[in-house]
Amino acid sequence: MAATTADGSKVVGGGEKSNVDEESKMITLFSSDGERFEVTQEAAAMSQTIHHMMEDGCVDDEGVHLPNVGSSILAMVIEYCNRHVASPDEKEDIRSFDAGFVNVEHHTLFDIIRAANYLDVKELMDLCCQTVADSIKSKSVEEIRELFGIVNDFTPEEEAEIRKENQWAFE
Amino acid sequence: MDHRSSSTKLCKYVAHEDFISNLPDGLKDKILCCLPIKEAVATCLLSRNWRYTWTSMTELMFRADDFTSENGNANDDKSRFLKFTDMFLSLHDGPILKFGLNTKDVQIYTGGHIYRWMLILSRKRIKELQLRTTMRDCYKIPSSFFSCHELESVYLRFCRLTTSQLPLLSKGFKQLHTLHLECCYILGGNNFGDLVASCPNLNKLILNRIYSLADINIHSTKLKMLTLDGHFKHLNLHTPCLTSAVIKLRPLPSDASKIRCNFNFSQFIASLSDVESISYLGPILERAEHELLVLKLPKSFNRLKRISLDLDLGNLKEANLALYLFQHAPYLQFINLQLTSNEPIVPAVHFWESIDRHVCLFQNVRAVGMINFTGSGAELGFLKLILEDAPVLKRAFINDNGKLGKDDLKNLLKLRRASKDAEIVIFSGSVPPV
Repeated sequence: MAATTADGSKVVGGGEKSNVDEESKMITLFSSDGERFEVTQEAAAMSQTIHHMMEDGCVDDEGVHLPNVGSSILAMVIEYCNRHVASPDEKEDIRSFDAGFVNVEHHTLFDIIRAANYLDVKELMDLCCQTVADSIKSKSVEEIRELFGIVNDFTPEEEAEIRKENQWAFE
Repeated sequence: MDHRSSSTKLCKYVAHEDFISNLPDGLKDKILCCLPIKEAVATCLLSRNWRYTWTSMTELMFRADDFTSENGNANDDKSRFLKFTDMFLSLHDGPILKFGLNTKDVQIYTGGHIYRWMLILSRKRIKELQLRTTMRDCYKIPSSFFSCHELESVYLRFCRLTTSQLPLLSKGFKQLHTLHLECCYILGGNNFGDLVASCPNLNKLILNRIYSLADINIHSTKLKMLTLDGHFKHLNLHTPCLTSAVIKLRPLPSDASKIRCNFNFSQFIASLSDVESISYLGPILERAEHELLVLKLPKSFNRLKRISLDLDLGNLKEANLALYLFQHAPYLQFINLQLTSNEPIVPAVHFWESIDRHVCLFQNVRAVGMINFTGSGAELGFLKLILEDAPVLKRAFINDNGKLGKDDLKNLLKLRRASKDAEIVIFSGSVPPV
């Protein structure tokens, strides 16, 4: 079965071989808006949340319902897991895949972070958090606020006070 | 997915909604922990929401390099680094799960900082500790280290462990799975074994470039990976469940000719039935001239795939030991021999030539390396044996240190081989390990 990614391209679950290989078991995932995704158990197991459910036998014939993850985000997470499970040793390829994967709009990236957190996909969380951190590095406070839409609720005096309090950090 | 553009859209985007401040605490923590520590603290100015977020960061990495300024002098930089770290730790609130210190290129002579910081960490439920310090910082492991009961992984460098100092109240490290000591001194006493014994889940023990005057007795059935590299006065190992053993015995700098270590190699190797990889550089046989004791050796080393040894192929006893190993390691794939040749007391003339060729010794061997090849009778004999025996051999590396003449080298290349794919590669420089 295919999963649709955010830009409309279709990705086959688990790499091409899983459709032919009858041994690799498939598992059905349901997004919050009821869309259905078929994934190999191997790819699904990258999510510790789902992995534990499989281990504890909590997955019934119907599949796993993920009320916290929307279909477009779930599709992306599945794409990530599929890619990482398919050829975990090709480091260069994976690196460029990862770079392209996080090259998305803000709100999407944060949705992915939340989904990865809920599903407990450690590698994806690390990747996304590092991406956010990289965008913060070497920026001034004002630039960071602008980038993330953080409202400055300090008065100028308060801000000066905090700077003085933490002078040791700004020397 | 657009893979072409490398600069992320994130940098150019100006957000209309503040997603980041509303992330769960654990995720904000994760993001802060990916930042250089100074920048993480600077987030206190972003908004009220962020004012104290940095104080509960769970993974900390302090790099002295981050505090070097182009114009400043080294002492000022050091002071700023120490002051920053002191202030940070005193204002920090909550557990510290991971603490890393990297003062690699910066020498901090005042030793007190390690003691201060370790005392704080011992109250912070620390799990992973990595202190990459420099030689000048060589410090005695603080007693508060032994109070860090939740430690799981430890890396320490340039420190001194006086084993008789093990605090009586120490409960040991019940969660410790990895202990890595680099360039450390282990002085006197025989409590190192007690330390290991107090770590029931120790899986990986690495002692690299160690100078030890202690009696090191390591008894563990959980230990899977062991590396002992350095000068050890006394070693007694009972680690039957190892999958990987790397032992490199070094001579004292003052006496480079001899390695004085009380260690029974054949007894050690006899105990390793599940081992997959052995690298042993050091004298195989104890200096005492007793018969090779082939004790209750396992029927075979069924998992052994790689072996690396110092070997004198011309010494009958060593040759016998090596032969025994090859005979009992049917799945051996990689052999690396660092050849030595001393004046043999009992020369192994024609030892290797007289091995029965009908039994295949090197069934699965894919590569063999012979370093310090001198072209002696025994060495040639061994090389011929393995070339004629190994059906799946791909490569034989030979390093002669430039000593062999052209004719000798040509003759080597002409040697008969059982495997059609077998290549003989001759290096005169240093050989990459097999």
